[in-house]
Amino acid sequence: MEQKYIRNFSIIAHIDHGKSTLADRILELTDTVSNREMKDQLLDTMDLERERGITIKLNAVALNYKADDGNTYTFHLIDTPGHVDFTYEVSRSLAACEGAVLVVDAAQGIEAQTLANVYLALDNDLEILPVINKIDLPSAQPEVVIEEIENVIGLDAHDAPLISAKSGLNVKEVLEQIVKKVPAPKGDVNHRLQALVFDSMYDAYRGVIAFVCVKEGRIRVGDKIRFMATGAEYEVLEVGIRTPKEVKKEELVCGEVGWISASIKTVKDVRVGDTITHADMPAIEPLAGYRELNSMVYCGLYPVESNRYNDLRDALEKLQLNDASLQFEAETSQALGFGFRCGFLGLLHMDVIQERIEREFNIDIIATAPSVVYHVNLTDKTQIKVDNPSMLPDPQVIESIEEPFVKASIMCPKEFIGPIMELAQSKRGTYQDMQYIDDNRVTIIYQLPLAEIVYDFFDKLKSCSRGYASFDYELSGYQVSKLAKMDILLNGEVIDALSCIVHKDFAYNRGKNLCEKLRKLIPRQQFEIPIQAALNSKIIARTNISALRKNVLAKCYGGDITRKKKLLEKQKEGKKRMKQVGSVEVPQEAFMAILSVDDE
Amino acid sequence: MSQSLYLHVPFCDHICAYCDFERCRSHPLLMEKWCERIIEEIAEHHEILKTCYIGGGTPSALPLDLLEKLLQALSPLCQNAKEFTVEANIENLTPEKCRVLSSYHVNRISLGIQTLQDELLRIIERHHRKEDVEKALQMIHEAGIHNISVDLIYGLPSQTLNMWQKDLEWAASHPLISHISIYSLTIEENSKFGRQGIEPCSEELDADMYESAIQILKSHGYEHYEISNFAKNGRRSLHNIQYWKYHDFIGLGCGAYGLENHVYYHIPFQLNDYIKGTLKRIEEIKSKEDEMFECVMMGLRLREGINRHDFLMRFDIDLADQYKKAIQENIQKGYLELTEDSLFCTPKGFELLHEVLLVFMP
Repeated sequence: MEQKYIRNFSIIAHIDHGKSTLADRILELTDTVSNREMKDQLLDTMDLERERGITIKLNAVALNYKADDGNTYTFHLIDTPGHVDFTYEVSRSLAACEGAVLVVDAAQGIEAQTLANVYLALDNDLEILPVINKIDLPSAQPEVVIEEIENVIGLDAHDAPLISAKSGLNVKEVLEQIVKKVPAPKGDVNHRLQALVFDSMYDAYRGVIAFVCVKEGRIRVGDKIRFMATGAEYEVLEVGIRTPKEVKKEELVCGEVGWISASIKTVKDVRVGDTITHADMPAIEPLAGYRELNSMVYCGLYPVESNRYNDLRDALEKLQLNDASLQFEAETSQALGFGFRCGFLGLLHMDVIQERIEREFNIDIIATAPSVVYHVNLTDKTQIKVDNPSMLPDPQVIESIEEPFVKASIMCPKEFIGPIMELAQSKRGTYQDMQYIDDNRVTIIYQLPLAEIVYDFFDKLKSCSRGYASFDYELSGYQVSKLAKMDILLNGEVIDALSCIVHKDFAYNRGKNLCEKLRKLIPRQQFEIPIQAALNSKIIARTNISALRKNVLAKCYGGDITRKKKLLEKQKEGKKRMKQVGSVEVPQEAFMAILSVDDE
Repeated sequence: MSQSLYLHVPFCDHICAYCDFERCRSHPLLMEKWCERIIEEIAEHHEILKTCYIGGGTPSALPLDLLEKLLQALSPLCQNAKEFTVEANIENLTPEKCRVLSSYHVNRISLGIQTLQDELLRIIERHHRKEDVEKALQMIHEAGIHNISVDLIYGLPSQTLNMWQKDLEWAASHPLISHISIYSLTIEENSKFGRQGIEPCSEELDADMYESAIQILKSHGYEHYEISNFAKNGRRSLHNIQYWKYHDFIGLGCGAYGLENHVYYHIPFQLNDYIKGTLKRIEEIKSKEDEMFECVMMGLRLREGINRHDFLMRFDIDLADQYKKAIQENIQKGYLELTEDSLFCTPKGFELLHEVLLVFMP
């Protein structure tokens, strides 16, 4: 395939604006997938992705399109994850493209996340093709949305195709624009090899498969290659493309997007954003933009049944094969026993991993409330990083604590400015800027502690804007805050897994509300249980779970023994899902209680 | 050979808001067909029964002629029964029905009163009033049936402790009543209450109501012989004691349960299949372990508890050896007492019977 007939592009969109549906239509129109093979939203392969309507892992598909100019083009459609946690991964898959189709919902308009991805695309010098989707909705306002795109992003959108990805209306027009507007990949097949790694997956038989876009040169079966950031070297065993089925090829040449297998044992060697070159004739320098990923959010994961510790480790190891951004190390909690401290890119990433462990590996786990990474400055002038509140040193040796802050961009209709600003203030936010997108909508910029976003900011934002606000954030740095560790005592014992780091101004209220919440979550037991919250060892709140007095004495009717027995069995099953902490049985939800405590 | 029989009448004139038992609305044609079928079934039995119990549903919802046919069919089995109970609802009991019952050896009526507070009756969708209750009691008495039990419910939505105590005082001091069953309301998912999302009353109130029932009924000379049953003048329910002692009993009619020769069975509530005669009962063969646990589960409901000698004869092992750990743990907590003869609950153990039983579970 001649380079001038190649088009590499992504589709970017807000969740639910129709990215996957458009991808499906494109696959159909190019006869890449027959109707029979067509499952809805083919690019999302994991069940979880389908259920949540989001794409977590990237995927690339090669398709052939016979354009109106009579030539046949090869399109590489590179899918991108659509969530703020995966910003870096999105940016790398965009870096593999020359163009991006920007899908905007004709009824909803631009959302914060769309904007974030558009900026990523602009950073990568992509040609952006706006497309207005869902124009068959009664509430569609394509003219308004076109104007919004022109105002907010500064893109010329006057000839944006008005489509319905669902019905297929005008989707061909999108393909024609890709041919006409997206430039063919540059690069020279005779230059030294530079291939961008934008994704990887683990295959039980072949090891890690790297997904690459060849920017310069060519890569052949048998080549000795080097990953420039990690230094790892391998011999290429297979290369190929996906259509979406795997098709083996002799080589991938510059401009092409495909996969490489080289008996790579560990996903750690294949980092997203890294550059592959030839070991014996390496490129002078790697492609720009590689970054090491740092976990933003940490939590402890513990098996409910302690004898499944090894199973949990196996599960985490297996997940890590496909997900280099998942970090974990063993930790021990007095309350929960042996488990793992795990680091995630963000909250969604954390949720997804937890759910996959429970669903795919069938291990019941207890997750502690997520924590950010604190930089703790000690009196001896050293600094330590703390990602587990119970590991915070004694207050006497702490000089100050720094916490991560983010720059949060919130987009909303103007009538919600008041409540949203109030919310941001109550979450220790600092106002930075506000801009009108059009007559009705604004972008508000705040500096916010990441810990507050981990806490309940997103839910609160949705409720105070009746779901209209959208939100995106990026890490902006560390600042000193008035923070302290709050411990929770059950029956007089400190439960390390319930400790949290709080802002001193919020401590009293949060302590009181957390005790109250725990009182409701922990079932009554055969003795009274005091619950206390302590800040630097001083009790700031307390309440009691009174002792169990009576079980319900249901009617034992007509000799129906089963009903009674089922009830007992259910109760016994329920006890299994609880963790014996000292003398108290604590249900799983209690360890996440801090997240649902209101500040009011 | 079983000496007890339970017969299930699955019809009700009206479905109460708290009920999710196996029942359906009365329908003349269905009742007739059902009756034909159950009489065929009764004809296959020749046991000499000590106790017989017709429950439901609402047995008194059967029209007079069908009721008589049913009793006629049962009568060869019940000639010498010490106790023959029929459940009745106030709204469909008539003097004629009472006379028929009496003439076919029925000597005990279990009357579903539930509450006497008009406001609560309306909430649970019971269609009788306090004065109807009085009339019904007289009616039964005049027909010659003098062993009358009543059901009372506590923990109903908006029921106060005071309302409950009034009901108890009334029932305990009524000269025609000699047995009282009390039940705390459970919100069943498939009942109307469950569908309406009604919340159960607080555990505190539930416990207060239970404790005050024990106190009031005892003060009126009632014996608290089972966790939720009280009897005066020695009139314990002989039939129900068979369940609590985990003895065999025959179950008849769709919706019924039975236990015979280590087989516990349920006749599913599928009326049409039942009438056609194609319905299969669901059987569960009990292992020795299951039987021992269920024997404990039922037996601990009785004040006198489980007789160790009976247990040994039946299972060939001493109860105290079989459940050593569970018994010890519960004794330490003050929930159980073990004597040479028996194992039984303390008053606290009665209230926390689930907790007591959980450690016995296999």
